Amino acid sequence: MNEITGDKLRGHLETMILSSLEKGETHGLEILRRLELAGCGLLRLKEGSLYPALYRLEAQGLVQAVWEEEMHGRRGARRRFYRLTSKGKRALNKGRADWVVFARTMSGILGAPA
Amino acid sequence: MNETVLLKLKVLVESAVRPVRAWLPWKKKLREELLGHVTGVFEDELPRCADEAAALIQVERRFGNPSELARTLQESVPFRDRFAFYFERWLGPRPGESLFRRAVRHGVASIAAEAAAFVALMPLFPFFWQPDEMGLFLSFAMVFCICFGGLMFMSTLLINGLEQVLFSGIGRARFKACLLVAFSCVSPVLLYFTFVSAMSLAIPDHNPSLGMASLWSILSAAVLFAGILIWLAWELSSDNRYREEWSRLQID
Repeated sequence: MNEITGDKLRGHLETMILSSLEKGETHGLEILRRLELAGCGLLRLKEGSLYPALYRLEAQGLVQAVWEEEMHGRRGARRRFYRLTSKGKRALNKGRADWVVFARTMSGILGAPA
Repeated sequence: MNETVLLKLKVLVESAVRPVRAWLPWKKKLREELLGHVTGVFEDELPRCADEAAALIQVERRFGNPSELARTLQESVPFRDRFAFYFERWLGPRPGESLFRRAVRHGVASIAAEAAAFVALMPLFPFFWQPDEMGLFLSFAMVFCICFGGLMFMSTLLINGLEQVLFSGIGRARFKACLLVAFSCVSPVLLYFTFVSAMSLAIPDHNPSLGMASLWSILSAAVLFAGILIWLAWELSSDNRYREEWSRLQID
């Protein structure tokens, strides 16, 4: 199967992030791992693009972020942990409902059931 | 992970962060988070790759094009952080500008900002004052603007002086430091007396008396003001060191 790259993901990345955070709070790299796992290895994201999306979600109050307190022996820099807020949960539910409508409409147009 | 790898990862992060127009606290957050990310990716890739160089190539591939990322990062900067960036840039030193000239710039801008605030308050005048108090209001506004403009001018000079003698790490001049701290304490006292004297000139029958309570208030304000200036000098020094550390990195 073809890989799903940035262009096809545009407009859906933020809902995908919210969905991955539903499994519990975590940092950016783990969010990407969760997305890759959920996408069966077909997702190909430019990893840097995750952060602008996370900052937008944070600015909208859909996620909350805190710096980790301990480095656990790692070198480099601290990681930021993101958590879904109740507003974020509502946005995720809306995103899912929108997706169902979108997928059904596209299936009808393309004549290819999802 | 050795220093060379960490430096290369920092260069990768800096290529995406440096072009972003956001103020320093936002960029600090961005640099630390992206560095944490690429460090994690490097640690992920190293066991799968032949050596560190190959792992670094994988990190770059996964990270994406830094200039493209800089553009998307710029779009995610909130308005207040963009506004703060321009304010920070305006407040900071300009190429070839002397400290005295910068202090004058800050003083004049402070006068202009306070004057604008008083002009904005003018429509409220009839609600709080009598019509014959207009002269007093204008005198107060003028003296206030000039005094605070002067305070801003002195603060710029003092903060930079304190930063140099206390925190720059190029040898501490004790006498100079004591002199600057003493002058920091005296500044609000000078400001108070200038203000009172100027107001006495503006209102001929105005005869302020300096009681023990107001004396204690002035002394407390003096100590507090000196403390604030020393704290600002320390902040300035740590920001300067941070900026220097990251601006030393050579990016394409």
